[in-house]
Amino acid sequence: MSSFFFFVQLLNAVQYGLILYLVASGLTLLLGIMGVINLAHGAFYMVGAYMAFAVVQHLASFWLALPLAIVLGLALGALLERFLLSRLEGADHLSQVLLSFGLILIINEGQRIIFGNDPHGIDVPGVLNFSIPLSETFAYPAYRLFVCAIGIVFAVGVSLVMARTRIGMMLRASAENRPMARALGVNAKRMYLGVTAAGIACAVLAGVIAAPIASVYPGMGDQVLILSFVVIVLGGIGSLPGALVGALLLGLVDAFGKQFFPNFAAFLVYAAMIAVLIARPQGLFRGTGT
Amino acid sequence: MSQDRIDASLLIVLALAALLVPFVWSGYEVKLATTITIQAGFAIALGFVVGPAGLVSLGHAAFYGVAAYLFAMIAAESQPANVFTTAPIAILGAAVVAAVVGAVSIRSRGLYFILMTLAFGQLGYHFFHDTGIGGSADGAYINFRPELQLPGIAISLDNAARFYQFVSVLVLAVAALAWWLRRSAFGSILVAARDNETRTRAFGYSPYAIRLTAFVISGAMAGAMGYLTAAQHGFVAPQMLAWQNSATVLVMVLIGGKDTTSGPAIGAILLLLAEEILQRATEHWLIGVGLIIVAVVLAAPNGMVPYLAQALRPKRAQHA
Repeated sequence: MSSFFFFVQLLNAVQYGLILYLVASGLTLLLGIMGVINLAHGAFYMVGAYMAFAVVQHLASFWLALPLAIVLGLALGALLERFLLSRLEGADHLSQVLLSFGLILIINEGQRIIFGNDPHGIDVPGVLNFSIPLSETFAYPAYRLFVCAIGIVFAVGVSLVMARTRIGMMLRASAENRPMARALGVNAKRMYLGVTAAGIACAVLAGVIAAPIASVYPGMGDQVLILSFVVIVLGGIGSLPGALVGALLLGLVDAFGKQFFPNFAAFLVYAAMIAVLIARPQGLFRGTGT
Repeated sequence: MSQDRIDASLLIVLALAALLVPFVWSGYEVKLATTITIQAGFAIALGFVVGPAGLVSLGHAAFYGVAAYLFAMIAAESQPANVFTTAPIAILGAAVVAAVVGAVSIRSRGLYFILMTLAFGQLGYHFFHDTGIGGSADGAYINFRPELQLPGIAISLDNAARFYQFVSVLVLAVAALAWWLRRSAFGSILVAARDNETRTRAFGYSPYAIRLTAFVISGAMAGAMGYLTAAQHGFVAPQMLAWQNSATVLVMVLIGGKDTTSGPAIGAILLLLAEEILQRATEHWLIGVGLIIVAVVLAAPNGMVPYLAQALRPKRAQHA
């Protein structure tokens, strides 16, 4: 195996892992801080991808889709918390699972009504539609490097916010001990609204960014949802650094698994997760648990 | 009325309704009733671990599917198989798989348990989908519906009404077993372990062993339903094991109410009937199912049967 081949797979692993992290970080925050298992997270990822498709088609610009994704995601998240999740506060956590399953059906079918059943490709934006040669035979698409860059900026930004700011402190405290954080004056209502809005926005944004690579098709959120859950279970519930490590690990298993065992890549992902959970039933990093 | 009495009354009503079906309906309706009855049995099986045991399994479709595949593999190609030999093998196979999955998964709690079972279920799905065993993605056919063969007589189940009767007797047996287990000492210990593990241990019980027992019983019940589904359609496919199937049954359990035996069955009936009716009205029927789920969860977060029990409680006992 040439070292360039290895390097390309490594880049693929990092790029895929960072997209997973973008989705999983919102999911893990919702879980760690609010105790909400949001099965509809993958559906919101799909919403982002289809939004990118619609924006490229009608406004002829991929870049416009990025800020629009954040606005749309924040709005959807705020509506979700304000009108649905907040009504189930104090009820059995499984009721939120049920609610979000209903949302998946509504969002998936809504997508079919608006866009139909055909998969669609989205062109890589013109500015980034070239490849960077690594050797005479290997080249790497610039857009994938751009995805890596966004992912790294996001990961660094999130860890700075969590470590250095007052909001980050309140989030960490809430993930550690919810009732105590509340007793010490964390405004739970505002925090829940903020976490849900930000978490959904991340999922929608991830969908936009992944669209030119993954193409856009009905039910595309399902796979991402399951993999994101694998990521946060590997990393420990509520732990953002854990999610990052879990996502990169999964990226590696996926990228190299596809090369060496093309028929069993999916098999490997689940086998790896079971192996980790047998060794460490609470995830690789100590999570807050729910 | 207390929740227990409502539960028992609903079960009796459902059992009578189930027995009446072949006298009232025929043809397509009987086939629909067969499907609904099997899924109701599947939901009762899952509800037994989600409710009293507090084990939210998202991998039960694996036990359902494994039993179906086992049946497809051992059924003879040129003649009907015997229910009395193939069903025990299929159910036992599901129980063994459930024992292995449970033994490993029950060490994890909460979301970790949910995802552990989901991972095992997906392993099962990819096992049949990717390895070529059992016909890969195309699935496998069972050429003949099994027969009830005893020395000297063979009762064919080819007739839709007769097959329905066979299914409803088996599902009623599963419902009766689940109801009895919930009320037994075993059921009480399960609930105790769910609510306070430390105290249960102090009483001398092993929560792990008790949960595992419940999980295996539930897995075997799910396997029985997988066997019935395979016998009904004469066909098995990897999708039977996929997590979407597990999730759909979990939705049935939660909509009806996981803390009762009749709840999951009512959830299954409501969801499948809604599906049937909406499918006739629009090709986008799933959006209607989604709206129903959201409406039910907002109105009755603990499920419909507990909601009914609450509504029927006498006013003075409301806060008791």
